[in-house]
Amino acid sequence: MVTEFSLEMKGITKQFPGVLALDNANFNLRQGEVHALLGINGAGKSTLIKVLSGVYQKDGGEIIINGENVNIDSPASSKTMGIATVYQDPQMIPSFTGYENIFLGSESEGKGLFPVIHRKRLRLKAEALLDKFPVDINLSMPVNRLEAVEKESIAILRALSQEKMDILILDEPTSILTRKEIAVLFDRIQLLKERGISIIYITHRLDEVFEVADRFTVYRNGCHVGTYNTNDGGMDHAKIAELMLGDKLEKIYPDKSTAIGEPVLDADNIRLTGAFSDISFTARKGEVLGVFGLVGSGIDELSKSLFGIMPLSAGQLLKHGKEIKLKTAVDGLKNGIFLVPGDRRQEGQIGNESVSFNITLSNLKKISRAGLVDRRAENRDSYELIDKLELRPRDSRKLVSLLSGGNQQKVVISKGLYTDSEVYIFCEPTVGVDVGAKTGIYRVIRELSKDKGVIVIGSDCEEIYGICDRAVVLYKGKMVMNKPVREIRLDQMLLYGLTGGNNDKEN
Amino acid sequence: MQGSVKNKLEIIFRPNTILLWILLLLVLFFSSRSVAFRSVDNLMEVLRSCGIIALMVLGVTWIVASGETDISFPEIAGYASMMTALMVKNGLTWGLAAGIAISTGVLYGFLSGTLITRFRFPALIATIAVGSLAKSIANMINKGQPLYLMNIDPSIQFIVYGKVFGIPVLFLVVVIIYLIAAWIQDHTTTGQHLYALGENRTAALEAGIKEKRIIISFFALSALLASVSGVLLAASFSSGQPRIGGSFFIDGLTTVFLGAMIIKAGKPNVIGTLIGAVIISVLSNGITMMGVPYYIGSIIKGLLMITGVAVIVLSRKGIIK
Amino acid sequence: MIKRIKENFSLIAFAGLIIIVLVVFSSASEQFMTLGNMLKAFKHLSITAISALGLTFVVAIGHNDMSFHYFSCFAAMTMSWLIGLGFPPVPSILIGLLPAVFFGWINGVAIGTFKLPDMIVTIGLGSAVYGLAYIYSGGSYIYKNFLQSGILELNNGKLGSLPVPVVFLILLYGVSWIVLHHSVHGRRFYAIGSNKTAALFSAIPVRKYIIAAFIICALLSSFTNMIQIAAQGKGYLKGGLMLLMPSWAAVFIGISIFKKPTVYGTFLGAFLISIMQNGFTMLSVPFYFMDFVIGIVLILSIIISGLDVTRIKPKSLLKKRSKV
Repeated sequence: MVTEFSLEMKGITKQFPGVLALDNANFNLRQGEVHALLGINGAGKSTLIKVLSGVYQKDGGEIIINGENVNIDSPASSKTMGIATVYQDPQMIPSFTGYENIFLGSESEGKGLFPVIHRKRLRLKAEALLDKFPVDINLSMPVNRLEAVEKESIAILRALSQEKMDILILDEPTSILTRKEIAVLFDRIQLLKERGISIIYITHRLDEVFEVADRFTVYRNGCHVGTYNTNDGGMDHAKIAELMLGDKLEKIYPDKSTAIGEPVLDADNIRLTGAFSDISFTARKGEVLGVFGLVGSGIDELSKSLFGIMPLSAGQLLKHGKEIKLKTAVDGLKNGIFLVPGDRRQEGQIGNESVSFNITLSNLKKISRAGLVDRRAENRDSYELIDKLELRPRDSRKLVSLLSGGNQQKVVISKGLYTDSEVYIFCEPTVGVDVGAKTGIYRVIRELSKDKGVIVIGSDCEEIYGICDRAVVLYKGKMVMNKPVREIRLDQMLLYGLTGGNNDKEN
Repeated sequence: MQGSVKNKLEIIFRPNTILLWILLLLVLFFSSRSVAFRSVDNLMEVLRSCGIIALMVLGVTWIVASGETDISFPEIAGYASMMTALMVKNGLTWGLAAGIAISTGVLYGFLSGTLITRFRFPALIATIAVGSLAKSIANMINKGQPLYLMNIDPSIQFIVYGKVFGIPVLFLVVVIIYLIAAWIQDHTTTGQHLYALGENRTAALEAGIKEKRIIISFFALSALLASVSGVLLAASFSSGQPRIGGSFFIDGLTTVFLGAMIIKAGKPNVIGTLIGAVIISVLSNGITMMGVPYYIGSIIKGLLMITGVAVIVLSRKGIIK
Repeated sequence: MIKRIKENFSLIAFAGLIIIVLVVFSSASEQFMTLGNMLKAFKHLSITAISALGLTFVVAIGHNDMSFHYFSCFAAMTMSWLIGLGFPPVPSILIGLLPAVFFGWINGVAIGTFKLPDMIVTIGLGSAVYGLAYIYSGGSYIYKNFLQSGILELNNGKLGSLPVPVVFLILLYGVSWIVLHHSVHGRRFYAIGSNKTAALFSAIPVRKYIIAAFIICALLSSFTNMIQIAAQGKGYLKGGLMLLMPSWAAVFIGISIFKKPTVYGTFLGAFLISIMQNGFTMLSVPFYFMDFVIGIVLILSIIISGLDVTRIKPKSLLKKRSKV
């Protein structure tokens, strides 16, 4: 049966506790096209992909592949329908070689109790895949000794090894690649396209959309906003951004600072061996200091060093001009510093405990007498913060794991606010947070900055540009920029983050 | 020049090979201190006695490698030894008795595997529960007393005590089983998937590896081998011993954890386990031969186990190089 | 209403189980429901319950301990040896507990500070310590001074009408209940147990708490074993070994009722195990049936909690990977 679309998704609905992730959403894909799926974090694009790849079960709607209504109820059934997914952070077996990872789960066609693995044959098969997707990579090396980029390539090769592969989903494949590698990747994508493979391409980098995609679809708040051709004149970055953000475009970030005050935290040539070096900046009252860098540029380690989790190898940290030494997070908190960590699930929250348990966790002294917890005080103080940050549902007993991403992040921030620290560090503060909660979080950050030192660290350049008054940019562990935000343009800042500000330095 | 010497030293004394050096040192030490130890007969006895324990923990090795735990194996062995004795006492042939003991013993493995995969028991708890069932049933068979046997079937006698070219048959059989197991471990998808499960379960499940089937089969296999060693124990003691298991608990786990230190640094593997079993056997035997109280052995084994793990974990973190 | 029942399914199922057990035993044996027997049952309960209480702390912090029963052997033998040398009971007990603190500390440092796998460390250290316990008497009984020293009072003595072990049971459970469920320390124990990294990022001194948990576990099981030794009337090396299984079973039955390790859950678990053991003793069922009972009760209670899908399963708390 000939149809216009190789894939059609109609009226897809997906409900999570506390959030409607997909609300009657549509999507379609032509054969042999690259179709970009756009939307800010929490718009529903990753949920849509997970429904398509069988990780989540849809609550409503239908999926039509090549004119046939299909039922995708597991990752395996998605695969048999010719759908392959390459996730942003592909899961691998660290000690296995590249080709072993590529063929994990399909090593052998042999049946019986002990199907034999012919490693040589697998390696040759894997090398044959390199014809379809030529990358320079040693497939016999254990993957734990490979670079992030190489792992990404292995994941794509794994998708290509699938017996039937008509639809390839690439989930933010460029987020950890360098400029040069991105160009190579785009060449490869053209190659796949010519073979008739349809590609769903998820990204938040708008320039990539015009470079690689034929059409794009914008999602917002779990709804389909529209599908457009990239070569239809009249579409530019600003227009797409408007579609992605809706009417919230201006309101999403609070006003910039007007009164910059005294310094709170000084970093003087700090270094963490293997992560970053020679970084100096000053966080002042009244302004938000932003640190922008790509994943792997040392930003994550920097956030941990400033809190004491990864003690500095050299350099000085000065608070109000006095040197402080941080060996553990306990030291960090004692010195009036608090970190809202980047990986909320792993580092931020105790998921199977209540909201109030989490909020009070770092300052239990405040609600205890003689070491005993006063539940009434706990409840009172928790609700104070719950109301201040507009946490929904308004319930201090609710388990944190049952909240939406945005509310979870608000719990972690509340925990920080409850410690009444003098310096707040936010690392990737709005990952997995919906738009509504995002503006709320930005508002809190701005308000805090009035009489505290606030540092926002992240890889989302729009966010850093939007929320901060002064921007520090890291590139491969070095500081390549430290300027007031009003003196630079967004694309300038991004360029420094991507290349270190000098294209010749590109490796 | 100095650098290359250092490199050579590093290759020889990698954490990966440290266990072999320990084994060598132990053998040299005991041989120099005890004439009885270095006699050929005794060395062969060392190999024979390591056979039973090696057999008992082959399945456990894979279970631990796949990220689970099994502590029910000694109790299942005790059960099988009692069951064999009971059946023989009731007039069954040894072959039939062993068959019944082994086939019922496997059921414990299926039970553990089901509790873990279907009901999501932590493996430690599932095997504590199943182990206590096995232990209790073993005791019920003869009111908590051993069951003595008059005649041992000659063919089983041959497996337990016989020698071919001067080498104990039991050891030869176990070595053959281990070679087959090593092949399965390194050259079939079963072995591949088992390590995948142990290293990154999310990735393994995403790749469509059949977790439940693999875990249940390994627990069944572990129970099967524990039962077989129980039958051999019954033959070697000429009796069913309901509490024989206890003495194999520490030795068995030490064997597996020691074995994890070589070949695949940090991961349990069958060849490692076999070498671990020889070390444990040398230690126990050597200490007896030197006339040192046997509990010194358990102190040494315990410390060896912790030191070994510490060396692996710390060397991986780069604290020890 | 139905929702309430669903939410408390495990608790209701557990209450039903206890009622059935009580009815069956009291109809089978007239002596079962007498006050005298109940006191005896409680005295017996103290032994399992106190040891399980210590383990509750380790499990709450997200670790496994397979060494406390071995440590308890060493501690009780130290005490017996001191009694044999003519020391009075109280100093003997206190000095006997010192090695337990030391070994618990080693566990905690190895696991908390050096991040070694808990199963291997505890089994390894436990067996080494158990071997070490032979030095006191080469494994034979210590009778010397036992009857005259007054150590037997640890088991036989009474405070008012309550047997001493029951007094300790109440005392230790009371304190632990306050510590784990009403103090800031309890909050930190649970925070570490559910998400160690997040606890670290919340500025909780994680290592210290892990060390504390292993010390508490070693201490309480050692103390239990001393009571048991006092009941036996002789220093007895293997006495502590039988603590392992019922302690784990009690903690896990508790988890299956309340979905996380709790002081009251552990108590109920120990209670169920003890009344069944007592009931079977009344019916003159031989000792070796006890393991069977524990095994079955453990499996049943966790299957029941596994059927209860409304809450978080205990798996997430305890599924540990024993990777080297």
